[in-house]
Amino acid sequence: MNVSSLIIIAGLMSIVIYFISKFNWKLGTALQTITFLVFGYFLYSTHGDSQSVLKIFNGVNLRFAISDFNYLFLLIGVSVMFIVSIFSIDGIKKFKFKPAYNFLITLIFVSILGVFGAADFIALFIFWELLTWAAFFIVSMGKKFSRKAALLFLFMSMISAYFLITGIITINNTIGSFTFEALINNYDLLTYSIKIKILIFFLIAGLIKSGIYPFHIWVRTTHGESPHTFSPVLSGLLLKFGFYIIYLISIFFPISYIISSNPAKLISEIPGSTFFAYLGGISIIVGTISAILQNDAKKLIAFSSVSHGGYILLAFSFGTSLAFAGGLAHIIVHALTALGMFLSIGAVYYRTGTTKIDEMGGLIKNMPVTFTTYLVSIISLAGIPPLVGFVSKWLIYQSLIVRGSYFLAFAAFFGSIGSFMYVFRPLAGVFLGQRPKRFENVKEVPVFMQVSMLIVTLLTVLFGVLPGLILKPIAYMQQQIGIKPIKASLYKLFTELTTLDMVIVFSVFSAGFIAALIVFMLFAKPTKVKQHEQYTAGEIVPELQTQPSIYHYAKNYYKPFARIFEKFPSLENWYRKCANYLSNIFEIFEEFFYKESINGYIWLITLTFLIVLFIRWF
Amino acid sequence: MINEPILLVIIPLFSGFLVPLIYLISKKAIKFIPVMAIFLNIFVVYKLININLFTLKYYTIGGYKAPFGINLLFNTQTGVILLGINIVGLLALLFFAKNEFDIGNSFAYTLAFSIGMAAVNGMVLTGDLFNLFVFMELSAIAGYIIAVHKKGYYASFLYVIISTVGSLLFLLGTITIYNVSGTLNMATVTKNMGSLTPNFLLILSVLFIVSLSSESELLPLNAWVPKVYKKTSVTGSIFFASIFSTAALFAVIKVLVLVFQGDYNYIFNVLTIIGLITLAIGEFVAFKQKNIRKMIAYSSIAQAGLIISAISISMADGAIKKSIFNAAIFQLFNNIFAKGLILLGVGLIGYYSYEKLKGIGTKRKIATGLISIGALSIVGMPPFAGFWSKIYLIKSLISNNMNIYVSIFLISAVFEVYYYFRFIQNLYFEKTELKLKLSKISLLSYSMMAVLSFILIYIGFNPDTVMKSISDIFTGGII
Repeated sequence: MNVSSLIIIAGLMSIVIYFISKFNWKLGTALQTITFLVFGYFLYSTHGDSQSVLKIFNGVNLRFAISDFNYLFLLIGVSVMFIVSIFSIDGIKKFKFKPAYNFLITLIFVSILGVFGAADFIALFIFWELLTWAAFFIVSMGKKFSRKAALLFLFMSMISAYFLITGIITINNTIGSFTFEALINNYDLLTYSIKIKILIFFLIAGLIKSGIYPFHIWVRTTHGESPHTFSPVLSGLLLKFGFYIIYLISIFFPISYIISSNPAKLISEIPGSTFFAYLGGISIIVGTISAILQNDAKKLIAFSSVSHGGYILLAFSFGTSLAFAGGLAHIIVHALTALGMFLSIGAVYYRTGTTKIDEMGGLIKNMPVTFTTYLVSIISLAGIPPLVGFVSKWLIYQSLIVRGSYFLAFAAFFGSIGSFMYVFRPLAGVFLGQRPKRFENVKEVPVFMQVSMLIVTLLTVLFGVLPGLILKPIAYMQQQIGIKPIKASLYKLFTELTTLDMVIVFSVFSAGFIAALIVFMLFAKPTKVKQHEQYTAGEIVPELQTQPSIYHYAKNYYKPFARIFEKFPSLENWYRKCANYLSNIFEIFEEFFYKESINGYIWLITLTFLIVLFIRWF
Repeated sequence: MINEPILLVIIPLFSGFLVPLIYLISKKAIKFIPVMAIFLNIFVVYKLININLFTLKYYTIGGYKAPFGINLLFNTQTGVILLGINIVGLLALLFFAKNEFDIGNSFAYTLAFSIGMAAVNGMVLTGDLFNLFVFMELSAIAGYIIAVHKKGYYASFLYVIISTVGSLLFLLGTITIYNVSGTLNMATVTKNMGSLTPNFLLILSVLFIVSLSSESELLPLNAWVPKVYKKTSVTGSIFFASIFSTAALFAVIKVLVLVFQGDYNYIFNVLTIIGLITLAIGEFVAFKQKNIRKMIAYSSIAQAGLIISAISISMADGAIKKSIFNAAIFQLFNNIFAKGLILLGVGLIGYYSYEKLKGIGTKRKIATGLISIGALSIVGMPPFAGFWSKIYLIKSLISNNMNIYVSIFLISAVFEVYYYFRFIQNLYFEKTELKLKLSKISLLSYSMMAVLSFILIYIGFNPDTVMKSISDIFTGGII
């Protein structure tokens, strides 16, 4: 099954799903899930290369290919959509526009196939634009502020898209063709200055789309305001599109190769591709700190996506075989982690109606499955073995140590440690602690949502214990694009410094866990405390009777930490001010040119006449 | 007999004369007259196109041979533009006949529409400068009347003043050319223009630039556009947006290509700069609008600026860069149909401000869906026609190293996407006002909108065919 036929079938299925969803939305969503599953099976069973041409636009041949370099991305895309689709079978119950939502989700699926499967830059761009407007409409379906968030998302996406198309057409201008093959074959035709131009265009486009600092402003609001079943797709997949562009351009123009081979022509204080590595490092730090300061669970996870994007950029810009593999592995890891976290928060929202951490608490008794998913995801996020998060972090740390870059190593470790702070907050604030009265009868989420969350948990554990499952395809990828492939076996990690056997790690951890469990069950006896029992050291605090919630332990959780960063310069405020200034300038244009006086116009006409004459006459 | 392009002018003109006669018999029946006239027009255009002329053919009128008599230029290129204009005209007039015809006062408007169509067809066809002036004046007069539809008195008055200034300057330029070259025929004029001193040529070119910018909505004479578009009826705004401006743009192209062919770089450079400034200012001001018709007016200004600057860039420095020219014409086509679709849709719904149009999507699903298709096509989203026009434009500009132009174009395009999508969002995702009275939309109206959307989708899926025909027809024909 080749990609072009899959795209056509998916496009047709989107219309079918729309009409079936109008009739019965559960049936429509179930059909969507089955479609994604079937497509996933077809993709998975395609071994070896396949190429295909799509001819729906006459005269324009869109080429697609499935080969080692994009096979993994396609699988990630389809799997994430499949898992979210299972979740949506019950999760979209309270949405207003269900048939349209299903239609647009299937369109996004089509565009995923199109972007990741493209062998031709025009095909890439067509589906990239399709994705932009489909995602725009879905994000607008959220809560009250989602319209503004969607417009901000659109604005940044269009800037990124226009950089992309300029880069693509610059390539076409020199080489005369849009296909990947032609670029590889005619690489020598590009002069050095054109290479730099193309590189910059593609990189800026990719950076904006992946939400790296300083382009991260759209990530927070878009994730926070979009519908709850779409945020996992946004974070797990759409951010990866930017990285796919960066990955592609690193194949054609290996970043470290291009800049380091002509050092004399560059400003000497920015050697090599370290610039982007530092940008990634700054992203990690900014993302982590901003995440700690958030009160809304989804915005917190949004910032964590920014910081993990920084990890991936850091890994890619190193160029060494180990780092590259680490970056690709981290893409998979982050997709799973973001899925786990967003799905569990979405499940909590489904039952409680809020995502603000300080309004909840103690839901572990009511929603154990959700709690497990969230717990496993955050353990993986922090990079603790034996889960999958450890694999990618291990590879990245190893390459940082080998290379010996101090600031970046600090940034990476800070990201890991800081992530403990911010991931723990929703855990403690939502699931642990004392439960507010109104959430006493909250039930666990319906079956399908539990199933999808369990799948995520299982995958996280599975890939952690048997990392070869993701590292082997990555090794094939590296082999095809010309980087030295890493050594990978099913359950061992190999690096230049050491070898790690994940099964042994897993058994050690399990043994420890079981031992702790036995000790807990035999000896620990919990003391029951009333919900708002606060210790006030003898002081009489009247608010404790009237407004006990302001002394709830989850409120202002990190207040001392937040106080450090209270008056920090914020990039978001700066962008907002610029937007206001621009808006006012536009108003000035309108006032100047289009006001009510007729004499004024005649004056303007005469003025233009004279200017046009005068310019010539000097 | 059917193969004479002069029929395209005569039929609507004749129907204009019929209107007062039929008015005496039955006041209601006059609304069908322009519809039938344009229907016949489309038939004639179709027959003419089928003769498949790629080179310019000169049709003489009245038996006077050129360059003394007036002649009409027709080839498949003009035929395609005429077909587009007449189709949109037919749809607009059907809409007028159904929804906006008011027995009390529509006599003048029906007359104006008929004569306007005659004048527009004439502007596209004619090959003689003074004849162009006459048709421009005629279309302006029809425009004055159309602008007053639904009480747009002030806007129409503004249009009168500005348009008169433009026409006077045009007349001055024409007279000068006649004085110098002894003939008014566009194709022959170039031979004798070489004897003019450069300063004289300068003044001449400036006269033409300033005068032509009135009809084609360029700065600085486009102040009438937002006011007229806002006040006139929906049919009127479709006329202005799709029909008059296209014909005026095409007339500008004709004058530029035929009369100023050769080494007149200054006029092209100035037009490029004026066009780019118009593009930027149009998009920026449209960004702030909260009334859909004003938004379309400013967007129309910006697109006119884009097309004129693209065409003048392609003709500067002597050789015509065909790729830019063709891309600009493609964009012109996209504009005609997409703007007509949006205006028709909004007109059928009946309200124009963002406040009133909030959340209409839940009540009028199909109409809003088709309007969204129009909006998506203007901003250039796949799989609609506008996507390919943007790609071709960027491609041709970069291959000719016009980097500043591309950056201005793309920056304005980002803003354009923003405000059009904000418009669609307003239609779907806000809460509707429950007490709003909505008239029912008939099947005929839906089918009109469906025709336009279908054309957009068809062009979107067949970009190469359309592009090939454009490049065969246009750069093969008029040059």
